Amino acid sequence: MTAFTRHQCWQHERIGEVINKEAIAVDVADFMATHAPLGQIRDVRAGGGRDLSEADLLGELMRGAQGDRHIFAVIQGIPGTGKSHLIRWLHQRYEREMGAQDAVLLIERAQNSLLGTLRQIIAKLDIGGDALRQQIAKLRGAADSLSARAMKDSLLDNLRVATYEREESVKGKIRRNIQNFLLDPTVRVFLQREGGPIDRIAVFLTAGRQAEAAGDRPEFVADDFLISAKLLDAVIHQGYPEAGALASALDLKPDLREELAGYLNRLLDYAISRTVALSADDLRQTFNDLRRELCRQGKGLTLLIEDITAFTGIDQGLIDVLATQHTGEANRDFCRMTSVIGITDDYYSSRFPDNMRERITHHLTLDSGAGDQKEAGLLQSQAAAADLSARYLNAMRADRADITVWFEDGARADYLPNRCNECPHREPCHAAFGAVNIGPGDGPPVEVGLYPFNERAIWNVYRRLDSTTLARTPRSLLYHVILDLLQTHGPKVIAGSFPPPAKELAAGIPDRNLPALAKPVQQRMLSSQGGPDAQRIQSLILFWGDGTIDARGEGAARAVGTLAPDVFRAFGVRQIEGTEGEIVLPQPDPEPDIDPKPQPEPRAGTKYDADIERWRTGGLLEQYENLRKFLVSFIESAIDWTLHGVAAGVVDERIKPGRFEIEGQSGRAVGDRVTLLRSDDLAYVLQALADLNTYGSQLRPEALGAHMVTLGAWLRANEQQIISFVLQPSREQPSPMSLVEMLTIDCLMLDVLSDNLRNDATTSADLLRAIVKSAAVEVSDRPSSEQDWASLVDRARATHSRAWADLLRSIKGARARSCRTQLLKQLNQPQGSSSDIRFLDAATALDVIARLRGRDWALREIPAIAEWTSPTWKDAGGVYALLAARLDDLLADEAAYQSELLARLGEISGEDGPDAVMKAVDAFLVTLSDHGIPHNLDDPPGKAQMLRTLLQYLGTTRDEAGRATRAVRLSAGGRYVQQAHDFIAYLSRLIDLASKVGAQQDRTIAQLQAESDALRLEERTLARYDEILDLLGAPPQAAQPQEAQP
Amino acid sequence: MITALLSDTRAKIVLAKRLKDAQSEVKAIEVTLTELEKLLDAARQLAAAAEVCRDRLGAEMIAPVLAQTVAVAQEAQASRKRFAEGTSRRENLALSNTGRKAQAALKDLGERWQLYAQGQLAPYLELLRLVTYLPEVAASEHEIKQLVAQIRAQVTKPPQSAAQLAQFDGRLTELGRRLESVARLPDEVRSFLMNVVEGRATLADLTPPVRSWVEEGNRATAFSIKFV
Repeated sequence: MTAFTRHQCWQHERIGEVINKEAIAVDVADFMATHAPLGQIRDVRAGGGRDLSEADLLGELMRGAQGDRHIFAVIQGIPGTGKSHLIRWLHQRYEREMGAQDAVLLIERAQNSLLGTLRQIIAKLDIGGDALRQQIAKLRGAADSLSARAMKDSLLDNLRVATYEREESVKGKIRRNIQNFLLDPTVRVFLQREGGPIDRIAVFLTAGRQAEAAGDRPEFVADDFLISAKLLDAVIHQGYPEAGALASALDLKPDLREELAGYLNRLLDYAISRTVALSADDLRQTFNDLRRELCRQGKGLTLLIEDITAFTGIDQGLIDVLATQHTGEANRDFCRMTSVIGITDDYYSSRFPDNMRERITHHLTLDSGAGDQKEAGLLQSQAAAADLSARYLNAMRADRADITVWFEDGARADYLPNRCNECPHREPCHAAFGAVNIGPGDGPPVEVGLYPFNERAIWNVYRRLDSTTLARTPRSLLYHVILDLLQTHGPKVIAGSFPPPAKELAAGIPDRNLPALAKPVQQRMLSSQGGPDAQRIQSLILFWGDGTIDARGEGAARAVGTLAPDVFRAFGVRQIEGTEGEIVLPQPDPEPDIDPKPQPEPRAGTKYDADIERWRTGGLLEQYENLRKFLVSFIESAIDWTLHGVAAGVVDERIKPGRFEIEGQSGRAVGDRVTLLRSDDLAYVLQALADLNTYGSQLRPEALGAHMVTLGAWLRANEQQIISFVLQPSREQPSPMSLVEMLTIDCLMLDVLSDNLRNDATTSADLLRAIVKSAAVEVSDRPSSEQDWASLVDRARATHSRAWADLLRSIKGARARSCRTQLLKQLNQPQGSSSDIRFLDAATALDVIARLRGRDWALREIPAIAEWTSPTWKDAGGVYALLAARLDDLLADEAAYQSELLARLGEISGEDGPDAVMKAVDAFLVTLSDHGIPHNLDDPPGKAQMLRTLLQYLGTTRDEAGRATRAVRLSAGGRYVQQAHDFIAYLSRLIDLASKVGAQQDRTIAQLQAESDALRLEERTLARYDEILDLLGAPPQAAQPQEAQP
Repeated sequence: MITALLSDTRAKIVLAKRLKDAQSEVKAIEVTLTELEKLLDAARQLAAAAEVCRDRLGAEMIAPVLAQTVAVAQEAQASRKRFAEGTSRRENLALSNTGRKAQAALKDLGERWQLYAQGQLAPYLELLRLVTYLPEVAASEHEIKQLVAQIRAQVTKPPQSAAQLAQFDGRLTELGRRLESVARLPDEVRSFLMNVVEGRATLADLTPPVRSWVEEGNRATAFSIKFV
């Protein structure tokens, strides 16, 4: 007989067959071979006081069928609790018992999509008369339509139709714009992108959800409408105006995103139904015809549906079908129906129609617990998890053919193939790893071994799975414990490298959930005794064992961490000695003392000593946070930052515990940080800091002196690295310029863009004053808000070119506030050694501005600041990069913008100057007033002088060649631009009015002239007068007809 | 551009206003115009007659008529001013009054002409009375009577044109031509014929020259002797 070591008793290829992750449906024989009886099916109607077993439920269904009773059973549970499993088991058993009496249809989650579901129905309904065949043809057509590549487009189109056919949004912004929003090509591409809402829904309908995905059908979520600045720009400038309006609003208002997602979800059923060209009524008609057909055949219909969400879009019709009884006058020609459907809790609470709830005859749940803490009732104990695991392990050990034969022979639990029975290692294996009796309670035992797990290992892994992403359900146990471990690490058993280190054992366990030695002091001993296998042994101790290396017993019975020698031997590792006797665990930190007394002279070191030593020799630092805090505090206080020209704000920003990492910790370090490598020197530094922080001045002078030397030497060796890190945006990125310079330039440009500068602000001091004034607002009691920034952008839209407003929008208010706040922090310097008195380092800022002026505000381009840098660098760099990239174009655009304004004013004025124009305007208004012609024009926005001044300002700005001067003039010229807009708007309205009045007068004149020759009559009369006077020899006439020359 | 537009629009506003005003006063203008037409007629007659008659009647004779004409013109001028300025569009009454004055002036002128014309016609009528029974006159009695009637008609109304005046003068000349044969009668014959016409002729009046003239040209048939 071979030794029980590195033995693989399961068949690797059977792992994927028995726990089939790709296709949810597994072979029925395997399914029955792995079935664990469910004993905790809670009857919700019974007030939680009644639990059914699966056998009870099966009995209920059968009795109902025999008594010709309608049954509509709902099995509720969080995803993965075993609803499908139970329904499949019911199907197998029910069909065996009642197959002759009922047509039994199981709608599997197989492909878990509407397409797959419809195809199942088509395949299974291949009976019946013409009417039924027609209905089936319709289903087939629906299934085919779902295969069409135009699914996404069709979904969007039907959603758009639903916005006016089905329900209009109560939100005006959505109601007015949604149709063109859904029609906009850019928006459509965005919504249809891979992983986007339309893609998710279309994939769900055609291919089904991912096997592991939890929850119900995919829906819109608010984040689906988080639109990038680039996309928003494209929609606004290239798309429908309505689409731009809604996209802009979505960009600014998270609530609106929520509202839109909810609204579109309400329309989803309608859109899906139209897309598949199959309505709930069609489905209802199909089943009604089927029931008539079966009634004629004298049969009942039993429908077992694993997951109702597969019917998304027509699910409401299905529920109606299932609730329809065969009694009553109208339904007399229907056959009896027994139905069991699996639904998730979320579906039941949000989508199951209220009026149908009372028509459920059996409302059952597989959950235990409540609210967010719900978990599968099936796995409430270590033993239950072991029981379920054992069945799957047994199936993986058996040949498929044997299982099939067993199934075909009646699938009796007591005859289940069990390879343990013939295994030569059965005795030591079951003794070391444990075994579970999976036989029927009233039959002979069927002992199945848990190897290569034991009960504790299964439970330890299962309970440590990441609860934020994985619910504790049978599915999680199978996928993330049994399947994952055996597929990933199973081959390592033969290779002699099983189990892997604890961190690698199970992908589903987050680092924070990894177990630790129950007695950390044993770490050093474990490492030392385990040698090269220390990590594997530690994994074994932590998961299979009790988390200690406590040794008990002697010889072959000697257990370490409760693990027998056979456990170690089975995996090809030597059992370590472990530790005997009482191990003194470190005491927890003492409660803070209200009246601390001087500590006695240390004699036994500190609580950090063992930890530091363990780390020095390759282990983890368990007191990591405290030790790191000591170290960072030391760095911050020991370096003379002023000497190195580092602003106080930069030190605050960069010298934080989170930015320093001590090598060798279990967590994965992310972001921008300095890694201090494991070394003896650093270990000594940590030790010194631990001593100093624990005992302070109580240390003996010689110890204190030694520590000072240690710390000093280490600081000298590492100071330059730390200072470089502080001054750089990130560890990897050299500083493109000093942070203060970047922030000063950013803030100056922000003031330009915010129209904060005055035209006469020509000196560096003037500019700095403006910068500081704006920045001071951000550190005042009333800092600017996002709304203020939005107003600024709106104002910019009114008085500047589009590029100007776009740049402001790209910069974003938060970054502007950050730059301004940080600039003051950076410039804020302590006065001497004082920590209270501070002054503003104007000299540095003035120097920056002077240098900028010296190069006529030319901004040199810098490499992009990396994403993982500090927020200050990221904000400053982000703003600077935008400014550097766009400033020249912006000034050109702005000049073009103002030229356009001037051109427009010139076009309106023609050859006439401001005086002539405004005189004509006044005269016109007087004429209107004198003749009582109504109009809604106010007074002109200003007099001729104002018009003349603004024309002069804008003209000068346009013609200004210098970048700096032009920028200041543009910033200061907002009011002139506004006036120009006002004049243009006013004069344009006046032109419109004059044209309109002129046209009216033309019509009036034509009409009067057509209706009467009064004027000619008057002229004739006057002519007569003149003729008479001429005849009579009177002098020539001076008086003319009544008229006033304009 | 805008100034031209505004100016143009203002002009349209004013014109439309004028049209509207004119339309609302069209009735007033119509009656004014009707009255003016009458006055024009009178003025034309007056002006023409005054012009034509000015030289025949002489400055002294025509001066009062011209004075009246000036007064009429002044009234018409005042009326025009009111009308043109829009202060009064209904001038019919004023113009009617002015028209009467024009008619009066015209009548005055007619009377003055009549005096003049009758003075021109009178010698011919006197001569015609003497010779109307003579055979050479009796032969064209109808034409002469018609001519006289025409001249009388022109006497009653002053000529309106130089042509009418020339016609008047021509008719007088024609009448004279037709009476020319008797116009050169010796005085004894003229005296004899006067007595005959007045029924006072005696045999004593038959002097030899008279007898000789009577016997010439078969004139004796025109005379008879009867008892008183």
